[in-house]
Amino acid sequence: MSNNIIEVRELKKYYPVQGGVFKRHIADVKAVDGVNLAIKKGECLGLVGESGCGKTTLGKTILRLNNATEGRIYFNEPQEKVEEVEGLLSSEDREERSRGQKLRKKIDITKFYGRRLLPLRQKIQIVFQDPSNSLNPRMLVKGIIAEPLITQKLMNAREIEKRVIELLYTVGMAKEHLMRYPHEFSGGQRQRIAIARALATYPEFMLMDEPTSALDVSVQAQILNLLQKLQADFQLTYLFVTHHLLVVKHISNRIAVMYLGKIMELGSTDDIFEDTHHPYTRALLSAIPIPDPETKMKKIILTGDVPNPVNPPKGCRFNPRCKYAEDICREAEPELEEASGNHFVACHRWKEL
Amino acid sequence: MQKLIETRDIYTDFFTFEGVVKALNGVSIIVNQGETYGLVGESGCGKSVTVRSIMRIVQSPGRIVDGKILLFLSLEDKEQGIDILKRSEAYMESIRGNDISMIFQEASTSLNPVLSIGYQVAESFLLHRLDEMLKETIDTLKGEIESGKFFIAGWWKKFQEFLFKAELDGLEKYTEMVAGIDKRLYELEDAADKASIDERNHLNRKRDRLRKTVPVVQFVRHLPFIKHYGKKLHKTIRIHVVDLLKELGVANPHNVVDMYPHELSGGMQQRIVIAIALACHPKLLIADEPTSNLDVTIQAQIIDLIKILKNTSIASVLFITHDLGLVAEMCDRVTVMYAGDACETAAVKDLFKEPLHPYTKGLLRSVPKLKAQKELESIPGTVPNLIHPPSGCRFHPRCPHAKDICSGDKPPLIEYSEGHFIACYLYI
Repeated sequence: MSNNIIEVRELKKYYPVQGGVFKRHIADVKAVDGVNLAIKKGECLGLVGESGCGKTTLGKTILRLNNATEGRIYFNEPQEKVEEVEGLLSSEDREERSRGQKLRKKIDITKFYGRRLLPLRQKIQIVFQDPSNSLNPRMLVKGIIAEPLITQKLMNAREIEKRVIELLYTVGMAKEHLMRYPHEFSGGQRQRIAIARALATYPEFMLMDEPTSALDVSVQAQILNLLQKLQADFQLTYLFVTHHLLVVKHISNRIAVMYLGKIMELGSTDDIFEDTHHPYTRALLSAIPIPDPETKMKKIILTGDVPNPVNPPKGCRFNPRCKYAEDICREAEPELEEASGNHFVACHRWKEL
Repeated sequence: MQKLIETRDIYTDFFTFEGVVKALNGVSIIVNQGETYGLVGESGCGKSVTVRSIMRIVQSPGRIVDGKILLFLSLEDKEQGIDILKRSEAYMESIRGNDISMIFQEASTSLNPVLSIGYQVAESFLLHRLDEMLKETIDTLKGEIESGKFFIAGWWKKFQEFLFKAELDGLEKYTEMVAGIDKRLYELEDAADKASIDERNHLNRKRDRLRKTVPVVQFVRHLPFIKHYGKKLHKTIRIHVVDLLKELGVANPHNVVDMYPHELSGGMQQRIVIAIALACHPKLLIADEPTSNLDVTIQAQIIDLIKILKNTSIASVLFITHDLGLVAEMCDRVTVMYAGDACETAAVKDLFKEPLHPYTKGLLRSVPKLKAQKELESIPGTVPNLIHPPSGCRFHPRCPHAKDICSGDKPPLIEYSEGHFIACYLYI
């Protein structure tokens, strides 16, 4: 059994910018630009960043809702096999590389198309940001939750009915909600329906794309508790995409901080919050409004906005806004290096800071 | 502490087809001079309706049914205040944007996409500070004539002097015409408010006659040659706009003035909206969730900006948010609202240290904190439908300490300890 449920290697997702009379390809929006990520089985990985940094794109590419431009994603493959393929692909010998490509086609999910995606879709599910947009207003709750089961052809009609009712009870709703439309529910209940739909096909991995950002504080707490309970009950693995740092601290085991399509820092929640290395993470953490008037944290206020991802700054992507930036930061792009056990940081100067 | 604005038991209803939505259920708040006042609550609890009632801009099916909104602006009315619900619309127009101004929730929707930034900021100068601007234009022109830097010797000099004098005369007449008409209209309308019924009819007729001349003035302003004076005025205003934008930390304001909203980022748009609100140095700035759509780092920038501005140019801030973290950071005093009720009012430190109302307690416990905790506590149930709100205390169906009395009458607002007001039967 492998330890990692998802392995992302050198993943890139570019959106073309077209212009001119013939819709010529002018430039690329580099939404995700070379991301390496491993998600362990049973953990909750939080993905944090400002809007437009590519966190949702990364999530959707892992789900194969977007087609990746480059890179490899392995889902539920044994570690040795992944290493073997990676080794072959990066080898000098041309024949070995082509053998690697052949092997890769079997296990790399970015190479899956059409029918081969169906079993994958069963195991990977998503909960979207705004439940009022992600639920079809013309379908009954029953139809919404049963839809993935019908598409996957997992069971017959009678079993589906039973499963739908069971799911409603798991997310804290009741049987009488079955024959209603989404508009009859409050925001929190709608999000519960969306979660039930995602749970229907017995998934192993779930992408949470800002599931609580459209909800109020008290309802947000209910949903977060529900998600934690579900994770324990069904041994789920979450990729929790959000911009709300306190939520991510509450729910995740590990956190990845993204900036302009790159991962800046990756580590366990405690490491990120207490032993912060990257200046961007530090600024991000100091900007959280803390609901306690007694603790006043010193603010690091970043100047300016996130640069345009069409032509990201040369060198370290954070250098125009970073106050510690030096010449090396403007020239060379820092690699993600290991600072301490399982704590990675992409910064030239993290040791000095 | 000097009061600035006070609301006494406002009831605002929305008359929809499904029934009457009782959005506000007797909200009383007092904002003092020089403080930052917070209004917190979940969505649909009536925070925005409260401030819209204060500004008297409740949208169409809604109406302020009962209550008093007292404004303590100038020295004469320090004692009783002006009840703005009884004043004319003309009076409100002179107040909005001038003494009280407002920042709305989403910057991108509150800016007009087809007008340039410079025009939108200049609008409030044109509306409320036209007199000053015209005077300034005349002064600069006079200064130019006196300094005589354009003049060359000889007969040419005399001719130029004649031209400038003519322009000055024209500008002064233009000033009288343009600035005078709005002012006279306002004075008449305001006088009609206070006058007896007979007099009122007379004044109203006079006002109508004056109003008919407005289109003529508007037309005259756009005639060739006369338009020229308007351009001089706009040049003066533009200088002010650029200064204002510079003050708000907008990078290269000279270019931004000619840009359109879509060319700016979210944080920059919010700065522009703040600039519009601050153009006339208001006494009270109402900020309706100014940062809800922004990122944390940009949010920190905007909050920092509002804090700095509070020290320099605005007297008080009424800050509306659903984020308890922002409240802890920004405000001096807070009111917690639930379903149209003002549950609890206290100084920020007291509220976070010892919340009294069960709803406040629940709300504070359900926020994820910096210190690790096992499970978040949440408030069971959902916010009630305000067409048929629960009787008595509106929180009682979700309240863990609900008693029989809670469903009877609305609990009165009592002062539990100094400056700590609460509306709950547990503390009576």
